[in-house]
Amino acid sequence: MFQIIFKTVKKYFEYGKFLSIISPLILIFLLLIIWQIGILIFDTPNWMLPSPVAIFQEIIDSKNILFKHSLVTLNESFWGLLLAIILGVIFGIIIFSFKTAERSVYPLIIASQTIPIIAIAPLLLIWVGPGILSKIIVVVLISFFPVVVNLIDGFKNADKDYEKMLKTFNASKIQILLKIHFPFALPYLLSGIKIASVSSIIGAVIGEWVGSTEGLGWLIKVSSPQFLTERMFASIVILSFMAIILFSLSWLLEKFLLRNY
Amino acid sequence: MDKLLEVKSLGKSFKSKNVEKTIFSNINFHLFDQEIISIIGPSGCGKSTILNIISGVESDFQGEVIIKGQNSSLKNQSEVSYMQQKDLLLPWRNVLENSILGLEINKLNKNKSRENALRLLPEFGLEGSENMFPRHLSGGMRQRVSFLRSILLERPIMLLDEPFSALDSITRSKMHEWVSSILMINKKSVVLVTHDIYEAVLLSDRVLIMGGSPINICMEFEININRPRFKSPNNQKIFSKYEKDISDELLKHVPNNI
Repeated sequence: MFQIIFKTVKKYFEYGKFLSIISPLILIFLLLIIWQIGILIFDTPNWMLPSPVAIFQEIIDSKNILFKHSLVTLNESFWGLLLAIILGVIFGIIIFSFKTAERSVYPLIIASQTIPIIAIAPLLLIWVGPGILSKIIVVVLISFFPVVVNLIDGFKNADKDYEKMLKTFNASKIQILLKIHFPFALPYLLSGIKIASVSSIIGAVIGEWVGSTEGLGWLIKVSSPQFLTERMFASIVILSFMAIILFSLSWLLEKFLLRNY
Repeated sequence: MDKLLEVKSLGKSFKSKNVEKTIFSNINFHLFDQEIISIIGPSGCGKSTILNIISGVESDFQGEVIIKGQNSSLKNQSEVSYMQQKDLLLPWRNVLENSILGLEINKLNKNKSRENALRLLPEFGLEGSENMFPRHLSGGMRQRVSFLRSILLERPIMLLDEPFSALDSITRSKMHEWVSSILMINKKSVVLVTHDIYEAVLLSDRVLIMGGSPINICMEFEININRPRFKSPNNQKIFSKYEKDISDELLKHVPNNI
């Protein structure tokens, strides 16, 4: 198992992919240098816009507090994402398998996306309190959608002739779902999971913003009135880093599961 | 001889904009044990629909399908295997896993199925490629894997829906030779649907012509050429005669909705 994962990773580093990894890093580095020089020239105060060096300094100085709140946010995002995937797969299968569900439930799921999450978050606070559960629910609400929509699109994309073939083998509905529809939908599902993994961090921050006493979202919120701009920027950098990690994990999962496709 | 399969006054129609349209009606034919028959006709005349009905995929039709003397209720039949035009291999399964798909669905012992498939690989020209994935196989090899998958089901009747039409002509003639020997060795009875006249003459004992208005089976040719059949200077004439007769007959009965 680990060997296969290792091989997959190795393969993607061997094939001249080095350049595609190094190129964006060089660009980021150049932009940071321009930023730093700009700050030096215009002598911008730190509370307005801190320099990259100052932000980096802040990350090192406040590493304990940042680390503690990062874990909270990452925890909420991860469990929310996992729950969103599980629910997305269950709903996807139900909606695909039953015409009635497609007619009744599916439009509601789409309609639910038109409600701004930030407007629902305060309601959740009233219903389930300011604990971790309200954040996980926000993450689920935001991440569930790409999972379920992609999965259903994938199910529908499966070639009807395969289904026909399995019927002549006397396959049951469940067998057709497992052997044909699900494997055909897997690439779609994994695309959905990649999108969901990034939005899960956004969900957690929104949840913390509305009502919380911990997490990076909360840290940004309380740093703002105190003009702790470096700390806000440090939190933002870490949030984006966490999103990249979750995305990379989904990407690895995709490469691993689709290795024979 | 036993009639393995009998089709009686088969008809199929569908509703389009509240108008009942008939694809074909009153189709009658039979298939003897270890016989190969071809159904030939222009595209869109409903050849594939007939196979869909016999295989049980299509359940909305008129008439009767009788398999081994019993009116087939068409649910959970275990006498008919159906090979479609596309090879329909699953890209994430290797040759071995693809070939035992049917056995897997029928919940047969996995190790035994694998052994069975491995034993047949050389005969199917697939020796040593059991771990290869479909994307690495040629069109002919893919079609042979698809054939193996059908043969492994051990069902006496095989329905073939233009299985060679997607292959290039050289691969196709190779496959023709190979398939006729495989069918003989495995004692299969076959209904082949095609629009390739040469293929029909080469492979079948009888050729049924579909056409007319309304579409039905309007002519039947018995092909009396000794097997194994290869086009050679000796039988060039007789091949050509059959091909010409069938072609003439097809043109005479072109349905007027084409």
